[in-house]
Amino acid sequence: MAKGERIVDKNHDAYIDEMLEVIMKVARGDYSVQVEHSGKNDHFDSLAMGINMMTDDIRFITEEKKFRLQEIEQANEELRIIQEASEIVVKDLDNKRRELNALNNELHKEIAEHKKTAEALKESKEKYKILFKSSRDAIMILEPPKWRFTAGNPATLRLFDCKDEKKFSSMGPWDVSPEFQPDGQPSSDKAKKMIEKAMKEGSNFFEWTHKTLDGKEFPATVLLTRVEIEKGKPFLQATVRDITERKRAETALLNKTNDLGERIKEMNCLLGASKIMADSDASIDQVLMEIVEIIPPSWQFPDITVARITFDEKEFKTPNYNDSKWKQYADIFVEKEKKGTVQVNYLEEKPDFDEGPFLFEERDLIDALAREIGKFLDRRHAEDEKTSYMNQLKEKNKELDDFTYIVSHDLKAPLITIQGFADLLKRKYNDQLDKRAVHYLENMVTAANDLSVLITDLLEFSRAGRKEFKKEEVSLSDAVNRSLFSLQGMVNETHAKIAVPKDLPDIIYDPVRLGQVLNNLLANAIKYSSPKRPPEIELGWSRENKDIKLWIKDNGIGISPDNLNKIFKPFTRVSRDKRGTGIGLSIVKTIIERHGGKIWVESQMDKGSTFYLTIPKES
Amino acid sequence: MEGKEKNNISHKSILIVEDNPGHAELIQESIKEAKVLNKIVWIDNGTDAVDYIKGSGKYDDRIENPPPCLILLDLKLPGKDGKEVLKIVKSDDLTRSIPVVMLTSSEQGRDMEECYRLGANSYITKPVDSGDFMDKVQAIPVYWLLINEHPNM
Repeated sequence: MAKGERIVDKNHDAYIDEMLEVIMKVARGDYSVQVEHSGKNDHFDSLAMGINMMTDDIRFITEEKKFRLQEIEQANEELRIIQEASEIVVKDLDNKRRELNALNNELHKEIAEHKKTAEALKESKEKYKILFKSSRDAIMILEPPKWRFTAGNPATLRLFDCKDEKKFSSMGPWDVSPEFQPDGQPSSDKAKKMIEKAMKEGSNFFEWTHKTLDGKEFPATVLLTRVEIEKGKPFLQATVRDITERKRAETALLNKTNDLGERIKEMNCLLGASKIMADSDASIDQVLMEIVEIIPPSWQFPDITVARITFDEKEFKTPNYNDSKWKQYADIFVEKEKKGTVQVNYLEEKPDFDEGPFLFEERDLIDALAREIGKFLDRRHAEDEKTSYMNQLKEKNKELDDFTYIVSHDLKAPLITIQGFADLLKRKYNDQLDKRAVHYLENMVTAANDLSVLITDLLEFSRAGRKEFKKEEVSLSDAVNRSLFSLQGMVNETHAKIAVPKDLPDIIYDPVRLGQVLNNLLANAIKYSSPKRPPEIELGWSRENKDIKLWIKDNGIGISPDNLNKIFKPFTRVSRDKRGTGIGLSIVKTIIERHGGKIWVESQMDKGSTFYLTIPKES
Repeated sequence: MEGKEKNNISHKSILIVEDNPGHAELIQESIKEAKVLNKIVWIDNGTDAVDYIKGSGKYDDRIENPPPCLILLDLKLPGKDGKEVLKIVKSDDLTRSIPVVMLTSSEQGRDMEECYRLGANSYITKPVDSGDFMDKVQAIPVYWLLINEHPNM
């Protein structure tokens, strides 16, 4: 509405149109508009005033909404940080968020209500009066220059516990305020400042402590808005809302937040301790020294907190450690025996909390620390034992290997002598020996030969488990060919047919050991052939995941199911014949397993056997 | 020249350094079968072997103890072990050219490599199989004294 135009000069319809226009603007969210009014005490005037108050009310709600949304956003941010810090606190955070959401929902509900009312206003002028009267917020008008209340809605009277409307209109804001505001300023001084600011800036929104006429203080938010009820004479409209509930929720939130802060400190302490304890390279002394240093920051008064861990008659202390009257401690148990303590001292007196000057949470924390340290020491103990056993085992294994090696090696010397002299005897005195003597001599030589093979195999077996392998890239194809070449004699003798695929892959293996494996398996395939048919042997291979699977299939005598598991064990000869010492397959198995592979066999009596072995890609 | 060389050699000895008496006897028997004319000397420890080779100590009588033209050396010996003896022989200008054949039961590659590095002329593993031993040992003097040629013999 253009300024300077007198409302009284307009006809009523036009005036109503103007007001409707203002209402429409307000409904669209433009709160800057005001309906000018005549100052005459007629219906239009009170309607105009009502509309203006309504506008202010909506603005007030909007501002408070913003204010609260900011608070909520801030709180949400805090919550987010806290949530990241620890899973354990998530539950608490959820509760907190629910509370905030409840507040938010309430706010939205109110806004919706007000919007609805504003819409209703468009429909009916009469409804405005109901709004003013039924508003949940206290709305009052302050009149200059003394800034007394000139009007107040029923909510205002209820808020200040005032039964007499007339009495109310004789009072000013300081009559419903305590002598001082929480910041220490006298209410009357501060109220004047607030009024001045509102007059200067058009509006002022702030928190205020009010007092009912009964003397009950309560926190509130106040929105002061300048309104020109009369031309050239600005009044202030005050909208007061009791925020006791909100304050209570805020305090509860604050306490929760502090509580969460404490919990996070504890969690950090335990987390720090477990990180320190996870360092398997650090010695026990180093670990305990590091832990003791992270203790004080987790107590309520870090500056005067000192800590000490005792263990195994050793002490680990923070630099300024001193004994004190104000202390708490927890025992460290290792292998269920008390072996030390964790102690925290305050160097100065502090007010009593839950356990002397300490909090329940600090008791929980020191107990948890002692428990974790105990577990850590248990673990170290177990690891030490394990290492010691492992070393013993290694030692024993080495001894066993050395023993096998030495025994088999030293057995060779007398064997050479036996063989040599038997041979000498045969060469030099053959013509002087009778048939029986030659037969005896031959038995001796055969036995010595068997012993010689056994010793050689034993030596190989010991070597297979003992020696370092020299792994390199080898052509499986070349290795098979070399093997077949060395078995040429056997192949010719038995008329064996051996099929070898042309596309055998290259592998990473110790070439000498690979030769041993192939020699053994191929020789077995030829050796244990069936008397009913010439040996037919087939080599094959495939890729299994990342491994190479190789097989050697024969059509020989086969292995009985009883013996399938035995053949890879050393010194278990399964066939009655004397064609082997029974170590060959043990050597093969050891070599394959030491290269990270496996060996197994499938067999059918009288049909043949297939030996499978795997070779890992990076063997 | 050839005849002179052979003459020279026949006055010299074949030295067997071996602590196992059984093996020593077998080696001697085998060499005898090869029908070599040289004196065969057996010493059972490394320390005496070095003295003999150098003609020092109790072996200073070179008529009684003719210098060796071939040494068969075991690895494991009491006193100085085979490798030490080998090292001494091969680091002395006077004895360096004497062929040294390692005759041992060690099949360890490391031993073999080290012996060759120290200057061994040959490395033979004592065979365990019947008959092989004598054949193998017999071949040693035949090869080194009759077939192989090298200076200053």
